[in-house]
Amino acid sequence: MEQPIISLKNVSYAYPHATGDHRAALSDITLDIQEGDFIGLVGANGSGKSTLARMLNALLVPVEGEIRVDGMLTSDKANHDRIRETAGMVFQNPDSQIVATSVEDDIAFGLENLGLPVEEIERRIADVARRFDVADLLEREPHWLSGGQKQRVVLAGVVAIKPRILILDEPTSMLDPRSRRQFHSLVKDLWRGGVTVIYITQLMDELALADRMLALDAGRVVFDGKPLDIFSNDELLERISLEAPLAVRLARTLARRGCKLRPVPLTLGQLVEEICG
Amino acid sequence: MRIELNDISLSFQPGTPFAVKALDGVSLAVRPGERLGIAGSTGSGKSTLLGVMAGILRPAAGRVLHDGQALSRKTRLRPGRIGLGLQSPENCLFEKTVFDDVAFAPRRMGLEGELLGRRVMWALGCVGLDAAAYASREPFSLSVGEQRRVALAGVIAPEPEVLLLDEPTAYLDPATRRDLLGRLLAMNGERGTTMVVVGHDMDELAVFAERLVIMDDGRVAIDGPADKLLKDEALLERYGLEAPGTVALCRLLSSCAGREVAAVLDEEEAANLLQGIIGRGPGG
Repeated sequence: MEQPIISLKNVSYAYPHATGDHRAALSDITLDIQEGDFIGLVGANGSGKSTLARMLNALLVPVEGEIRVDGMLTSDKANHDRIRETAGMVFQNPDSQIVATSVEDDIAFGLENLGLPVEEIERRIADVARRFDVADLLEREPHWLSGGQKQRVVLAGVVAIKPRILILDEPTSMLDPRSRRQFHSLVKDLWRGGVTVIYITQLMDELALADRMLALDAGRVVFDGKPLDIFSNDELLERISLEAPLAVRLARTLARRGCKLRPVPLTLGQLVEEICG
Repeated sequence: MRIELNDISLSFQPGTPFAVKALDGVSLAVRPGERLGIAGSTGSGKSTLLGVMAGILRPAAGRVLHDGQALSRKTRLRPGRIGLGLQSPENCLFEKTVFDDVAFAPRRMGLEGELLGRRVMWALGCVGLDAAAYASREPFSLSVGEQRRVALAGVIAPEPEVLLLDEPTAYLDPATRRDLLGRLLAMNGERGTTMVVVGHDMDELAVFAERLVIMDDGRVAIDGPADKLLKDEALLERYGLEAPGTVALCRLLSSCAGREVAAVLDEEEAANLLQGIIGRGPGG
């Protein structure tokens, strides 16, 4: 097997000011992520998802254990710039990562920090502005854009850096359904283009593309496997406050009534296809 | 409390090239005890509408009436009558402990001692936080999802007559989300709390709302019974909204069964439908 693009070995973390029973945000996590994976990262509020995400681009470094991103140790400060070029992050709230007073300057910000020549910066801005449909917004003040527009600006700024890993921390929670669908198709294209995606969400329907699910509970990995397997595990779902998608729930109601569907459908499309043939 | 908006208009950045008309001639009445859902794409004016209803955003034109009284510059809003949950409520946390943050409004209403303690515990329970584990924690040491729950508890704690909530379930995990909706329904049923909830999730609005308003470009585009509107996928689609899962399912079933399958909103009913089709064998 190739070298994993991300590798965690016995990683633990505690926030410096946390007290009492809540000290450990992450406990003894060991796992590998292969390049090109689409990983759904799930868990209840406060289970450690965002902490783990921040570990993967060295915003936080483990208190115990080690993390390597494309072979680079995150605990070594000398690696941080290159790690952050490799692993781009989109946070929960776009307001927290918009820094400039115009959309164009905001997208340029990360590129300028890479020390790229001006022509290359302009070329990349034009490229992402077209792909993420923000070309008409370049002159605008980001503060006054709608949530969906802001999140596209943020994604454009991150993708302009050409990261090989994209970490998305509940990126669509503030978007309306149309913006959410747009965002999904942008992420899908990036993933098809070979980018490794780590997608944190509370909306299970967003994980249709995930080939692997990781679930956290109180800072520990309590599930690592196929989406269907987590959704068939009632006890685990309840423990981590998750809910199976509608298609799975309906299939199980039917199974209880004596009509079993094989294979268990994950989407409504699959469900209807199995029923109508 | 009855809230009336008469011909309300409001712009942001007025007088600049970027002026945006956030509300454009909106008239709307919220009846006491009603459960109103507000939907619409981002930028359609939903959050602004809540701010105007609460009396914290002053419209450029039109009148806002609380129980028939027009709000003016001089009107002082009594604490505890209206609870407004903003879109990123975690930004509103400011006290040193979760307890003090949730206790802020009840204290201003004169609650103290055991009564105050019980009220805070109740409010934390409403948002699914174990009061014993969270009360003494620092709000800023919590995750965003937890912070949102604390902030929401603070809005609910004064037991206001009216709750205006802007996407209260965003960032919440599915179990907490379902639980919160159940508690809001119970508050409405038991205490007659008026509820106005802005949401993007039509499945949730199907559970929660009796009446649905769809905003479009600063105007009220649609206003009607939620159960009827939420079954109309074409209409929802037109305003950038996504039909509830069960409604989408019925559309898929219609096209493959070759006959019109009437839309349902309830999951049990959806299961019955499926069972009926399976029972009839291939071809339906």
